[in-house]
Amino acid sequence: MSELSDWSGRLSAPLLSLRNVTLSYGDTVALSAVNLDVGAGKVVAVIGPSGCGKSSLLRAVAGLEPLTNGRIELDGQSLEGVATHERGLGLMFQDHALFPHLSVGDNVAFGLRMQHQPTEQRQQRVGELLDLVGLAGLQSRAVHSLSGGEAQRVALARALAPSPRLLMLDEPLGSLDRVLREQLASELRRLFTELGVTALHVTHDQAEAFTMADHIVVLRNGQIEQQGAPAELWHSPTSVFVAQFLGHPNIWKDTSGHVLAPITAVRVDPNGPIEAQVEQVEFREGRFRVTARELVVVEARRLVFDHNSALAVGDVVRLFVDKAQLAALAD
Amino acid sequence: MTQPASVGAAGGTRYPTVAAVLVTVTFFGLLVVWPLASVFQRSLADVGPDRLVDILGRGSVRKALFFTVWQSFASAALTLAIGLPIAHAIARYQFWGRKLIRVVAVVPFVLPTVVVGAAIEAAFSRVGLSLGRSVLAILAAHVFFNVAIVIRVVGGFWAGLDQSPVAAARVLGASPFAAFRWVTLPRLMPSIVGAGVLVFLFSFTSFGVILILGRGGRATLETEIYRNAIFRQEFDVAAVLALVQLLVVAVLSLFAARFQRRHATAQRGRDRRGALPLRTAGQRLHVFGIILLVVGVIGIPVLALVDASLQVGGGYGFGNYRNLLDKVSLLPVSPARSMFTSLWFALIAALIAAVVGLLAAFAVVRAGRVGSWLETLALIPLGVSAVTLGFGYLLAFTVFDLRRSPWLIPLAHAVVGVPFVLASVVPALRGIDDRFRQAAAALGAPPGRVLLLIDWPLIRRAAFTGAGFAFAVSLGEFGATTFLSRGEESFTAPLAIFRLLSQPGDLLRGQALALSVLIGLMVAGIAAILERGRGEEVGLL
Amino acid sequence: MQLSLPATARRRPAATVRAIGLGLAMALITAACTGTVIDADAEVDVEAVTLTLITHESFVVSDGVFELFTEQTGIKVDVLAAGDAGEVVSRAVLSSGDPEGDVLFGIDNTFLQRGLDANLFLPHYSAGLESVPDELKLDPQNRVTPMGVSDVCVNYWIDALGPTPPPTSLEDLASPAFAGAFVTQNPESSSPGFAFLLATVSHFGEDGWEDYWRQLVANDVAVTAGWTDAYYGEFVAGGGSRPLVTSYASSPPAEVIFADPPVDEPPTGVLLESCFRQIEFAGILKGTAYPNEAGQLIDFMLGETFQQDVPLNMFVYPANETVSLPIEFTKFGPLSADPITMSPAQIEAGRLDWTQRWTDIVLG
Repeated sequence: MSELSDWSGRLSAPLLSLRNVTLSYGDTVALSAVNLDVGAGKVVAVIGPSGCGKSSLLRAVAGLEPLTNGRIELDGQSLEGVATHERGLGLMFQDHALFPHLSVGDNVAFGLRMQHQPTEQRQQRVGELLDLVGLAGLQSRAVHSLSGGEAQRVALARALAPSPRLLMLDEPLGSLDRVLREQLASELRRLFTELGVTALHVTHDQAEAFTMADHIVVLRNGQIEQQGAPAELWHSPTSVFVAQFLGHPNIWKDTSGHVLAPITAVRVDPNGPIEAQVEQVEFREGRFRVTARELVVVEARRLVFDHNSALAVGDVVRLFVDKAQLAALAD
Repeated sequence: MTQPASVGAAGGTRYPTVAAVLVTVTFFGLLVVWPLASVFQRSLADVGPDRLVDILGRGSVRKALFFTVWQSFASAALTLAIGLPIAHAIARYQFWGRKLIRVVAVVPFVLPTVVVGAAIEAAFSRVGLSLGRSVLAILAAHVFFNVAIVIRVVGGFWAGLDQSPVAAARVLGASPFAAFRWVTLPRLMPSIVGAGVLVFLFSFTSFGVILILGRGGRATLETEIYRNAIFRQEFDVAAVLALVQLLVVAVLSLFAARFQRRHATAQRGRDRRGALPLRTAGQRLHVFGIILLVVGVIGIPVLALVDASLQVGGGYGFGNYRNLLDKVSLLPVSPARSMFTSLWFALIAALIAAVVGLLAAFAVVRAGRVGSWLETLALIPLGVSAVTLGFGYLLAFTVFDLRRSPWLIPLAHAVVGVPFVLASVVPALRGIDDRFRQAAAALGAPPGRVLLLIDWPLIRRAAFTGAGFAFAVSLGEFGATTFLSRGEESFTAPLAIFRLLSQPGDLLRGQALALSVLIGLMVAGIAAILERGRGEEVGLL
Repeated sequence: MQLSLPATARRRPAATVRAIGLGLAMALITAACTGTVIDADAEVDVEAVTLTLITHESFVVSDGVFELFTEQTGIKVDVLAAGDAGEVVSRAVLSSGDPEGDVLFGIDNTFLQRGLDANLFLPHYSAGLESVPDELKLDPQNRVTPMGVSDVCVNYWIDALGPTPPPTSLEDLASPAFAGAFVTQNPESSSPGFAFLLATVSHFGEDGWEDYWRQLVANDVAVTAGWTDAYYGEFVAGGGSRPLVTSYASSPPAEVIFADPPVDEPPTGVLLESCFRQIEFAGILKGTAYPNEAGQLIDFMLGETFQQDVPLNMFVYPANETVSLPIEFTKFGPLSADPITMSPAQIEAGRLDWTQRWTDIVLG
């Protein structure tokens, strides 16, 4: 993963670049002065809670929504005045948006048909892509008979079939169950690397973003709150919002403002200065995640840490916090 | 695990389906099949094969059949061609006048042909087109009268259509037109076919338009049935023609029902933001063009009518409207009272049509193959001439003496209204994702509650649209009413207009025009009320 | 997925649907019975008989007229006015033997032979016939009784003729002075249109009428489907350009009576030489349970009260010549002294052939 962190966008000109992009519907501002670059062959994830403007961002890039202000460039060319269908993009929807009246094969072939590819070539490509997504031979199936995972794979095959310059994914795994989601996410990651796909990926699930992306952008109320490589973002969130959204449990209020303690900064230590009572214990991937409440009268903090053996709710433990790992957060 | 939940096949809910089928069959059996059977039994009893061949072999019959079918197809195609862009604009864009278009579009539906025919001819001659016996005038009139069906039936369905496949297609390289052609159109087809069939049938049995604008030089099955039944009194010829008419209608509606069944797709998408504000200059220009189209097709004739109704002795005023309160000697009641009779009948007819139509819609959707037949059955009255049905009532209802009942008129109107309720409710019902019902059932809702809490809210709009049409159909109905009316208490506004225009005198003509405007306003008022009820709700969901 | 539901819950919607179905059935039955309810009421009073008068939609009587009849005889009258005159006859023929009502009002001389051939009527001699001119009594057996008279005549719009004097004969209509001036109606879909065709057949004879129509066509005659689109469409009255139209002798009086604002003189005149006489009859329908009472109604309708009511309500002239006419009728709408006529038998014999030939010449 180390090579991912030197993604910068400065080395080569980005494939996609958004400058000062603003989008409003009537009085509602969906995007406000967004600047964003996606380098060729990279996967950029845009995360944020629902309603933060993620989908609008994709629709703007796709040309489905006219910009109120700003510009978007693809391959150094401004997209202004370029119609959606002339942009050479791929888009995968959360609800997969398969064409209900077409078969699986016809769904995948749709973009090829729009390129007026000859039938034989089309059929061959459809076969290849269905192979690629693990649905070989399902060409004539009706889309309503597909399971959620299958539908999502068909949507992927359909989006990839015309070899788009940029693939956009709108919560592509949102409707799937967790196991399937994780499995598909790493599968997608592998496919994208293999095929050298450039992708702009929108999701509210930070885990999915961390699995798939080279670079992550956190969007809040239509504005970019923070962006960076996954590790950089994880280790140094700059605001309470980002830290919370990424799933950091230990965000405390301090006299000087908010402070983030990574989960690794808290550990059980018989000599630790903090006395706390266990409130909750969850078993997680071989360890126990423990939530304990500080035993002080005023402004008691909740501390969350991972522990190798089980603690019982109600136990009183002594904890140590590694001050060196603490970071200040903007409100 | 993916067993269909409570609705449909599950044993516990058979009874409602059976009951819905029975009500539908009884309603149409009593009010359509039985009367028609009586007519055919009476008129065809002495028709042997030779006579049949003789009648069908007549040049005039073949010519009428050919003209009827092609002008109906042309009318339906033209109405769709003009109505679809309007339906699209009001389904997809928010703009000033959007609701007004939906409201105004239904006005022509109730305007009497005698009044509008002249307006259309005048409109054509103003742009230098002399129509004579031109087919163009007939087609134009059919567009004018029926475009509301396309705007509302297709527009309502369109507004509820999931938009994400369109976005997907666009991103995949489909131009706006290609996306429409390959992704939107196929999903719209059930509603387009539904609306198209209704327009076809209305044109198929159109009577006044053919006579007035065809100047007697254009014969359709409908006008030939009338001519043979009334002027020539060759009842067997009329009955054979009526049978041919029935056959065409049955074949067409069977085809339509099967098509719709095969192509209905449940709407599962989430992108149903419905109409959006105009954001680009292109969109504004597009909508402006649509508004011009509406003004041209509906606005100008309607405004010409309003203008004429306000002319009093060389100036303008409300004299014609004030005169409606006085009974003139020609009429059994005052025009104002005829208006209330019409309103009353139309409300009853719309109510009956809504109740029967909803039950029929459930029957159609749930009763499998029987449903297809029911859909066909329900469309038949639209394609059968008022004369045939009128004679049928005369012959059949001597039994109950229903012939004398003042209920017969609203019942007969409701018969014609039900197909409209079906046309808008059935696609909506088929479009409901069954998972909603399953979810509700899983949450503990018994089938009745599922109907009330899931199906009803999702089809309510469609039901209102259909009932609104039933109201309009009843308000403007002339052919069957003139046959079934019995005088004072069933003297409706269209009868009054017709009667007022049967003698010379500006007083009479002014009242006829004013009365036409008022029933137009009445239907617009009802449409506006239904429109308010739906608020800015999006699509079918 | 667990979806089993309590049996009662399952049954409820069925019950609802059944209730709706039942309600509908009730509505139909109630509807069906309303008519009979009136009869049941009638039976309470042994004397009271209700007669049904079948007639066309143009039939209107003033309030109180039939009430007077009921006062005099104890017989009630239920008017069933529906459809045009042609429809009324067709319906009566279709339901002959088991009629919808007891008396039919409104069969005219162009349809009369059909009614007689179909054996629709019972003979009845009204004493009032003494006051009816003989030329109106077309059935020697008195199966039908004349009720009203009207003339179908060419009307002209006086101002629109300009310096041209009005036409004085049918022949004038084919002259160059009236090229593009005349509008008439299709005889198959319009009663005045048919009457005018009969006028030309009668006037020019079997050998001459077709030539006359060819001349009219050459003279750019316009044809509409019905009276309304002729009078208010092509004719000057509704904004059209043609100053001559086939209408009625009673049309100028109507132009005065229904003028808005009021006028002293009608804007139209009548070409009396073109008038074809239409006579409306009433008859007792065979199959009635009350032939005597029906006869009383016929007598009443030939009497002064009813006959006096006819002109302003139906715009026909009374058959009873002792009745005085409204002033507008006497002043502006005299009937032709020498109308064109044709016997019902002749009309019936020629109808289909003439209209077919007319169609070939004019529309072909």
